[in-house]
Amino acid sequence: MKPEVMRDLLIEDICLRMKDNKKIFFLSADFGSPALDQLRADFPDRFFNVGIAEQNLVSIAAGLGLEGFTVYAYAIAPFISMRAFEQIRISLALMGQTREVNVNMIGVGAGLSYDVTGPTHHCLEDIALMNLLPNISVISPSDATFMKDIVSYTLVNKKPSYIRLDGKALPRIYDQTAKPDFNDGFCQICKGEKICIVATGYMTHVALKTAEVLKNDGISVGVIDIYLVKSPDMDKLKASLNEYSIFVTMEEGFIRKGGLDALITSISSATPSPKPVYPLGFDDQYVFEVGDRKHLHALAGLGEDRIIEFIKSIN
Amino acid sequence: MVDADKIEMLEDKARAIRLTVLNMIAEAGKGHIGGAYSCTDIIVALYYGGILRFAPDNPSWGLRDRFILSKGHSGSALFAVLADLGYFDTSELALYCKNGSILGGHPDRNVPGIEADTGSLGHGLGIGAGMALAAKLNNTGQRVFVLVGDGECAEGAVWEAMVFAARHKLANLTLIIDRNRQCVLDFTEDCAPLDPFSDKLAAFGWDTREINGHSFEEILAVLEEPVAIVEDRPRAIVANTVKGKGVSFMEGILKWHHAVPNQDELFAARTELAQQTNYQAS
Amino acid sequence: MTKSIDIRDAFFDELYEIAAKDHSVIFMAADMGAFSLERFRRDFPDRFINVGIAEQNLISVAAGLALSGKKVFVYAIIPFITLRCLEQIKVDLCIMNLPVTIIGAGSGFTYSSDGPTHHAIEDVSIMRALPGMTIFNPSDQITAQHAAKSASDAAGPVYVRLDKGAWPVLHEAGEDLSKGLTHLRNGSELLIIATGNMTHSALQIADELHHSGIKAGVVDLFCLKPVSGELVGIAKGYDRIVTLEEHTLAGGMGSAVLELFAGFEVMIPVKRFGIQDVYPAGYGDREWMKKEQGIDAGLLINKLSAIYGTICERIT
Repeated sequence: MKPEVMRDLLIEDICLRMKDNKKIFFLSADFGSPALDQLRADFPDRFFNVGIAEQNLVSIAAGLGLEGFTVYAYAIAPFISMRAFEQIRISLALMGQTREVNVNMIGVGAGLSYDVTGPTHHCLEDIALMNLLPNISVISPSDATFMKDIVSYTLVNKKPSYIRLDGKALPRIYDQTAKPDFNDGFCQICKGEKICIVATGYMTHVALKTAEVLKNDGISVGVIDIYLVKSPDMDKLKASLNEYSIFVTMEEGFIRKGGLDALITSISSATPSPKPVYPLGFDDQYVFEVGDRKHLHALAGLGEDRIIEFIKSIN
Repeated sequence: MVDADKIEMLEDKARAIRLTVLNMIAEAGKGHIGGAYSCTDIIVALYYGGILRFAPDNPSWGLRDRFILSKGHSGSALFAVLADLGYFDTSELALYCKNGSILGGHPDRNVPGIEADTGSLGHGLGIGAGMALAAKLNNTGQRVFVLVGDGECAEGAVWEAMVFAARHKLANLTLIIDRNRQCVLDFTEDCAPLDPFSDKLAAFGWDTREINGHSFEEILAVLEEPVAIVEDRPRAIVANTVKGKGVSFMEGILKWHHAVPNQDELFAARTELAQQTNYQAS
Repeated sequence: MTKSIDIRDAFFDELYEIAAKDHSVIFMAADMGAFSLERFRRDFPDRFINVGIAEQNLISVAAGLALSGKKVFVYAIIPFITLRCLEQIKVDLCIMNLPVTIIGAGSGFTYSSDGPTHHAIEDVSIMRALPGMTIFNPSDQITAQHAAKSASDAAGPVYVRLDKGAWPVLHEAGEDLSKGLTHLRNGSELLIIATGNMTHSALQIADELHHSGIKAGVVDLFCLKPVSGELVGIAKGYDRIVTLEEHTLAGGMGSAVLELFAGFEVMIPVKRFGIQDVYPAGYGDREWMKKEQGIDAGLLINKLSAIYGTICERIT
């Protein structure tokens, strides 16, 4: 199947729902997509471009949300997640605890998907930042399989969410006919022996590639894709993790700061006999060198060879 | 009255910079051409029109004037100017957005001549106000110029900085607004309207002018005016511009915010820029 | 024992001394004062700037000053100086790596009855997520002075999470604080790692546990980023670890400890105490808020005695 841009499929589905569900609004901070052109043509009264003003985007979305509307608020990921952070905290996380505020932020450009645009557009902090806010679901899909499920989830859940989408077209990981339950929040894509790689978003693709190469070398590692980072079904996740003795986390984000690695570390360390967790991701510095994603990954020590070498060393 | 030779020199330079930007963006397969073209004439006037004090061989010269391109996505135009002035080798321009280059989609201080890392909109004016305040405290006389986009002015932080600069009487601070009336999805007046823009700026305590941002005569006239002409007020220049200026099929068309020309369009654009021997500045 | 003074006064008095010697120091507030700042404003009027209630602009202006060679300290209530202007901190201070110190007033539930908009329970996680940021969370006047000195020497951004009130002095004047932690009390069975005012609770808890025969040690972790690797060596002398913070557990100090241990393959069970993943409901004073959240000393003593009383006996 040819690579797909998740945002277009997500917006197409939102557009479909808007036909029957008159309560859905779509707001953008001057950010577009081919599918969005259709949406705004079909629903000129329920689409607003607020301009380059992410803080206002979130505040307006919250106002609509408090009046009972379902809102999708759409912008570039680092700007909606960070520029509007305090608005998200107050109007969505805090108010979402006591009131129904169904505002779903769609941040496009997870991790390094805007590779050459430099560190202002890189988004390596958002998982950690959104994870720490109560009452907000954090959704980080690795392919377009779940786009409809995500929209359904947000319509049923009726709580704020942050949907972190890759900016680039990505191939499918899951078979549409046998896809896992979205509400589990994770899927063990392949089973292994000692080591389990836990990944999210784009890095799940890297994890699967890694597992494939290692398999040819006779090492069988498990791969778990976490798409509902906050929160997966914890009992099921703990049971799956329990089958392994070593964990490697992979995220296109800063490590040791409360991101995906913290989720796994907190599960492991709370057991009577904690197991080692090795986080792979970006160290505590911004990436200034210009280059495509592969180039930037290699610079950060996340090149395919380095990862394989590392996993062999801990096996 | 600005002399005709100088105007012609600046028009030639602007045309050359636009060609360079076109080539950079075509080569990279990405970039924001429309906004780069709407502010090319302003950047050219600042650097080649005798407005800014700078030293390409010593980018950290303490007494240089500061120029902040707050609308960082127009970095290609500034990179082309800085390379032409000798801040770094022009061969670097061919590497724009390529692996290992110092020139990315937005400017950062690893590039000689860049004063602040921009790309996220709404930061430049506050940073510029801080620099202007430092110059005032140090009594060292540098001027600070900040170029923002009009779409960028939807960000609340821009207005916070306007209040601050007026309060601290930062007469050494000049704000230039690239008023191309477009953002990404829309025309500014259709999503986050700003008119009457000059009145708003004046109401915020700024010494406000409105010019044609593609007329070197008008740009230089306002930039050459002594800064203390209206005492102790920061100056705002609303430069009315056209997004995509210089290539007729790009002018005022929303998609050219960040579209990349295909081979036919590239040829047409090159031809048109090359033909503008008598560049019409309006 | 030194007579204790308000932790804010200790910090700002030290800053006054620094500014008296170093004329590049500039203080900027987002309409926020303190008793001990009045002297600064009076004696250095050109270097005290109130930008008004505009935190985003505060950070951008500070960055501009820092780019022009100034050493800037900015000050406001924690949630506003860390969260409202988060992206400005990321881009203007961290990406450009500028020497600007963010002084946040009111750690944890200091502004208890002002409600959740004013509670500072996510700031450490957020500042920790930003590359290049150094974080101090002083527990007493000595560590507050140390934070002021370290911040003025720093080449990059610093965040100081400032409590209020006069707390008992835990550290010796002249003590080497460069590692950012102090092993205040030795033990062998249970190590309590605490930060900020929770360190005072930790000592109280350790005392009580000693009475019940549990050999509990205490570390005051006042530099939350970077967390010194020395903590690993200390932790290895214990069987169990507990972390205490007046902050959300998501990405906070306890999380930082776990991540450090993961990196060093320290396989000691850790139990973290802090604020759960839900905003506190109801208004009350700080002690009341802590009780509601299950992190006041009395409740923790009971919980820890119940958990570790039996476990530690089994080990020994």
